Amino acid sequence: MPEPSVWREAFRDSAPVFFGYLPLGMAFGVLFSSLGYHWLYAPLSGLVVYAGSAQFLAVALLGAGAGLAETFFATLLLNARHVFYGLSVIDRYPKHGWLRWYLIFGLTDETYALVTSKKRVGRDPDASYYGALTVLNQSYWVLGCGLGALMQHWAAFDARGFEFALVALFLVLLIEQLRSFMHPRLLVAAVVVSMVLAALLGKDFLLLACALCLGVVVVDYRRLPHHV
Amino acid sequence: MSDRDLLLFLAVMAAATFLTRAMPFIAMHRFAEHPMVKHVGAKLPPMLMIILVVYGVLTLSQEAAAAHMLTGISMAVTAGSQWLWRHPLLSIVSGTGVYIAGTHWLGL
Repeated sequence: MPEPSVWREAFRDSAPVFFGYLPLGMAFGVLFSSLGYHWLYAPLSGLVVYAGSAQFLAVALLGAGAGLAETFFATLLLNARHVFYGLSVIDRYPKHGWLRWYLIFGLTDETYALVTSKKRVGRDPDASYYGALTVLNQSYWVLGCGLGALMQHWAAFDARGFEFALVALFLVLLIEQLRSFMHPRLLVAAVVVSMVLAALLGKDFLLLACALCLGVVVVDYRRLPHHV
Repeated sequence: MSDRDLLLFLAVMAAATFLTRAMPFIAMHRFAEHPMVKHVGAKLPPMLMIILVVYGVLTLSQEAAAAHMLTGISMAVTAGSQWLWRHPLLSIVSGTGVYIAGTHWLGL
């Protein structure tokens, strides 16, 4: 178990995620409950799946009666960006043990952002710090999922409009990433790719757009002068 | 869908999610120091976030012109608030609040 001081540090650092996850988790809980399952399945989703956008996708897939294979591949595609997160925290995370696998399981967009923005002065933060951070973030998420589902359960809450919280979260993350990103050509490319493909393909544009953007980044790398 | 089917559905989704997160740790750790991998890791995230914003807007699934206008205004409130004050709670709650209020007021 992490020391109390480690918990305090992780609690302080994770405060922004609390404020993002609670309303978003509640939005998921409210939407999920409108499908008519027992409310406890909403926090259970947060506990075992623990992926915001995939859980919102789950509501759509369940509503449409999607099959298991379709669900598996749609989730893989939607979460494919996580592959790139793992690459940059391999050297920070412990090499062995159950904590390593829990940290990998809990590597959401927001946890990734906090882990990689933690200053590495002197030595790395202890693995127990990453553990506390990941546990706290997931508990905010599960709490939000449960509260939203309970609200819907008790009060037949009108959920119209709550789905915007997802757009708002991605916008907030985008703006935070833009502050330190000085490559306007890549951003223009991403905007053009996503707008054109979305106009052509609708919601199915996601994977193709991700693949094209990866292609653009690889070409950009090969054009660098130091590349041999 | 029965409760048993729902549990199966959640298990499949959990497995797919864990697979995407674990893949680089299992398969790619030998290439983690490759400069191209580092380049991709540094340059791709904001581009993917743009795609996700567009995806999120598409999932709102509204038809009326007034709804598109409301989406634009709510996004401007969220983005403006985050740019100025860097407070995720404020940005998400204010933008979503505008959107929910507008949805009810316009009867969408």
